[in-house]
Amino acid sequence: MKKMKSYIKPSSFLIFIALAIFVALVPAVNQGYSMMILNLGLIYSIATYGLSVMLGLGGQLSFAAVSFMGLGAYFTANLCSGRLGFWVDTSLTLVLVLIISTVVAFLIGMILFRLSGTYFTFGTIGLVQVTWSFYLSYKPLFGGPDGISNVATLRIFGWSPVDYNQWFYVLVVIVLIVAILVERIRRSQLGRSLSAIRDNEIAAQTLGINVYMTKVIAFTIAGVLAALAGSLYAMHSQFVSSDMFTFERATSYIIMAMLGGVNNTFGVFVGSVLVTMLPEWLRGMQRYLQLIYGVGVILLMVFMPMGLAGLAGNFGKSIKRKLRSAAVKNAPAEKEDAK
Amino acid sequence: MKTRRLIAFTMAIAMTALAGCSTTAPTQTQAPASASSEAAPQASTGNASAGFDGSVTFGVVAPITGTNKMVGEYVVNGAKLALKDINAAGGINGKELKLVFEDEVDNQQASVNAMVKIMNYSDVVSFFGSTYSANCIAASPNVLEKKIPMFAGGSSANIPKKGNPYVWQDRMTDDQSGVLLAKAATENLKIKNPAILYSTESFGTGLRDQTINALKALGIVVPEKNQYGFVNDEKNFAPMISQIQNSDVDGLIAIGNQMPAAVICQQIDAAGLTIPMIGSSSWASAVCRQNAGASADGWYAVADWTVEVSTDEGKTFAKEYKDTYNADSDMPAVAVYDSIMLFKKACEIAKTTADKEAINNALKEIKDYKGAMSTYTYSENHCFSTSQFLTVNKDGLATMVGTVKTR
Amino acid sequence: MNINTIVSLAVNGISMGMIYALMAMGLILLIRAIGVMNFAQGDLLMFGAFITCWLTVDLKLPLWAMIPLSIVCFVVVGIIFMFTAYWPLRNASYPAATVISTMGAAMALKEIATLIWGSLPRSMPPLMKNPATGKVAVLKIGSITIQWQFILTIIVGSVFIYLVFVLFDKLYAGRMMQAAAQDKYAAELLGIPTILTTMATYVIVVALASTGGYMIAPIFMVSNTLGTLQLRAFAGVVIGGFGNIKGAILGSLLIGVVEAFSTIQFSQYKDAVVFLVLIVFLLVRPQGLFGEKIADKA
Repeated sequence: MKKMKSYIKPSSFLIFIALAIFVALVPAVNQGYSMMILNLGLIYSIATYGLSVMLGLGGQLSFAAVSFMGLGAYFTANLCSGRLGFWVDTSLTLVLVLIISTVVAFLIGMILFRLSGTYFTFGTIGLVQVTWSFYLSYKPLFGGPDGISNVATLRIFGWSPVDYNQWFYVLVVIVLIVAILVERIRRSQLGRSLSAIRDNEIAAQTLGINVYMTKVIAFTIAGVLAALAGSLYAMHSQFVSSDMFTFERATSYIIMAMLGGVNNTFGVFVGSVLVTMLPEWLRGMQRYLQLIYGVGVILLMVFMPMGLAGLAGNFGKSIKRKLRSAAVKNAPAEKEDAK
Repeated sequence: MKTRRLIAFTMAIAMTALAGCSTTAPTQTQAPASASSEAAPQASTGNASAGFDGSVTFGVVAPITGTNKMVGEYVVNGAKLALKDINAAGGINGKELKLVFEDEVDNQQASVNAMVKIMNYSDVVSFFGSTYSANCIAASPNVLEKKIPMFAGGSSANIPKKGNPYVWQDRMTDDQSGVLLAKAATENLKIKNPAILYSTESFGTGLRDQTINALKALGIVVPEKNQYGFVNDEKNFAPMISQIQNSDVDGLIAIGNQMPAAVICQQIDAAGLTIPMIGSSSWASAVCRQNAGASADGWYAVADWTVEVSTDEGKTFAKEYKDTYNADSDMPAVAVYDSIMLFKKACEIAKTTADKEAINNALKEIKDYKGAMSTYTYSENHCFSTSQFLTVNKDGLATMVGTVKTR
Repeated sequence: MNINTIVSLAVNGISMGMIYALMAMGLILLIRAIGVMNFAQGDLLMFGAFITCWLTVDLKLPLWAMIPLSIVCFVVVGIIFMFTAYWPLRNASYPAATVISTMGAAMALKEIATLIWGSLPRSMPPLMKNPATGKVAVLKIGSITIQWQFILTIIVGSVFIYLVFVLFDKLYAGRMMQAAAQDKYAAELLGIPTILTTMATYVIVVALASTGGYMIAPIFMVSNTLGTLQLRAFAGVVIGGFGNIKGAILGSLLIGVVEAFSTIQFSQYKDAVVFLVLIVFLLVRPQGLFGEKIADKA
């Protein structure tokens, strides 16, 4: 991959074109219902990007995304629904969510990373259960089992999206910003430190990387992105309830990340949208959907652990190999064995 | 380099597929009946369809798959029974009734998605929303936006009070059930110091609050320590039961869904707790009685429905359901059946099958309409039901004790 | 609050703790043997409950026929589970892949159970009945009543835990499994068939979880939502400390007892209390009850 660095431009250009077509075409042919699902997919992809930083770069399996989504969603719902007796501007709320979630995620990360590997994952499960329990039952802050409704819709400089199609454009812009950010992180020192930790923690330590702090920062980034997604979810659905922040939901975010390709910025996006849309496309096969889903996940892990992007990558490699072997047909230096 | 290009290419294909597939959604609107036959095998629509002057489509949201599948079966069966009865009797205003089903699976997002999908079909005039209160609350902003009358399957008092004129309930709302529950507990069962076991979801906490308020009005205060909450997939009630057993309470009021109801019956029986017990509607349900077996005996319930119903309309429905599906009917089936009947009635009053606004207004004029579950009369809070049944489980049956009326 | 309540809560807590311990032990065995966290543990328990329910209720087999047959079923389930969710992934370059495939397996198991046995929950007769009344048998000591089912659960759980210890400490087969778990390569050099030891591990894990399912089936009824119990077993594992079976058992028992007593004051926040205990443990003693600081294998 490193060798390809100089070739980034044409491919990003292609991705850009694909995106442009996507953005232009989709709202033109879809209306209310499918746009809503698609928007949800976009919102989920923001949280999944956080996972991609944690799991893809850092190799840390975390379920905490739903806890922070809940934090963002309930924070927004409280400030923008008037249930506390006052309203806060929605764009200001977004900023506040970012700040609060940074602090909270940093602190929780510092606690949870006293554990490592599998035990860290168990710790995040504990966090999810605790937060879900409070989201469900604590009325003063989270509205109890009825949830919080009448959340105000997003308002930026006096303009607010009136329907799902307009929301779509807003979300595409935000997802694009997040994607670029994650792509930058991937190439930054932080990203490289994280990859080093993923590949070999002890080796990373000997290289002078502060393993603990690097992990905590990655956790914070993931938390902030999840909180942003939660906040947008609250404004988009105008309703928040604890059902969105269960352990089961947490697993689906991990599957989204793995389906698209946990280490591929574009793949994460595709994975999130696909996992969200799939149940809608397969409504005719509802009866077997969960089974298909479960078996599909196993097959996915067996045949393409790096997701669709990994598959596309392998496909590309084999084509390249074939082309090359065709070009140097009789050359003896054919040592590129199948990997 | 090629790798990346290929990734981009694959993604582009995926995108086009995405867009392509989404376009199929609107085409379904033209043939919603086919969507319904896809969701579940279609019951015979009767052979009188030749004489109809067009059609009218009613949407039904049900948990067809997932954890609550058994509830979904009742909803689908009840709706199909209404379809058969209405079309056999000449349809609605001479138009053939058609149903379109959507699956709400077992989570809130899927449920809201299903409801929004139904509202987006251009020919759906009205629909039966989720059987679960929280889902109805979640979908209510969309209902308000689409201005389409929804019959909520849930019973929470918080559903229609949110200033939404398009949400209706044919079931008794919890604020009234709470009163009935408190009344039955104190009058029929002579409970003076009850413990309350309740589900922590939307309807459970709502009904608990209403019951406690009603009890307070009757001079009974339920202290915090005698209230036990449980999450909906809780299995282990034994710790709570042994606390109830070892305290000074003289009766138990239980509030929850069918599944926990069955488990509670069983565990209370196993623990040997013998105080008078009364439950919410679920305790009279077939799911609870069949699963809990003999351990459900002795439980009273303030129920929306029992197959031992005493009214003629109720008896007809119970018999017809039994004959058609060879199984006993349950609350979700009769709730959707009566909702569709109320919709028909409103269409007849409004003399239209297309004008949603007119139908919505006509619902306000419904008075003393005898349905299977209750006699329906419009009330301020958009709830039609005027009565519930007080039942007691005996030998595996929910036998009638009496009808309790609110109005 | 009186002594009756305390005793019955404690008995209930310990018996639930035993169920969690059976699952937690399986989790640790798998983590030690193949370094995989099994997210299908709870659904294996659910599946075991369905199998035993099918054998006793549908086929009406007596206990002596039911036990060997269900063991055969557990072996089959264990082997199938291993060859679908683990074997193809044993050389996966991405360690999280195996873990995620167990999540897929969990979903699949749940659906398979629904497809075979239907979506309706099923009830199972209690293991010990009072012959006079036909109801559940209870033990009465003074004014304290305890259900035999809970006592039986504690006894069966203890026996299974003891058996696992005997297997690993005393028996040659167990030592082989342990050797294979510690160093697969060296074990293979010594002629230990690691595929067989892994298979044995999976069978034991399934048998442990399924036995848990069998024990709780009469109390909880058999339904496809039984899988949610696994999260408590996870908590037990963390409290116990890294890869330590004794710790996991004690941790699970602690979780069971905390869970039972939390209903006194915070019944609606039961889950929160249980997992707050976990988080407090993480803060105060991140290495767990018995844990030493060893680098994680997974």
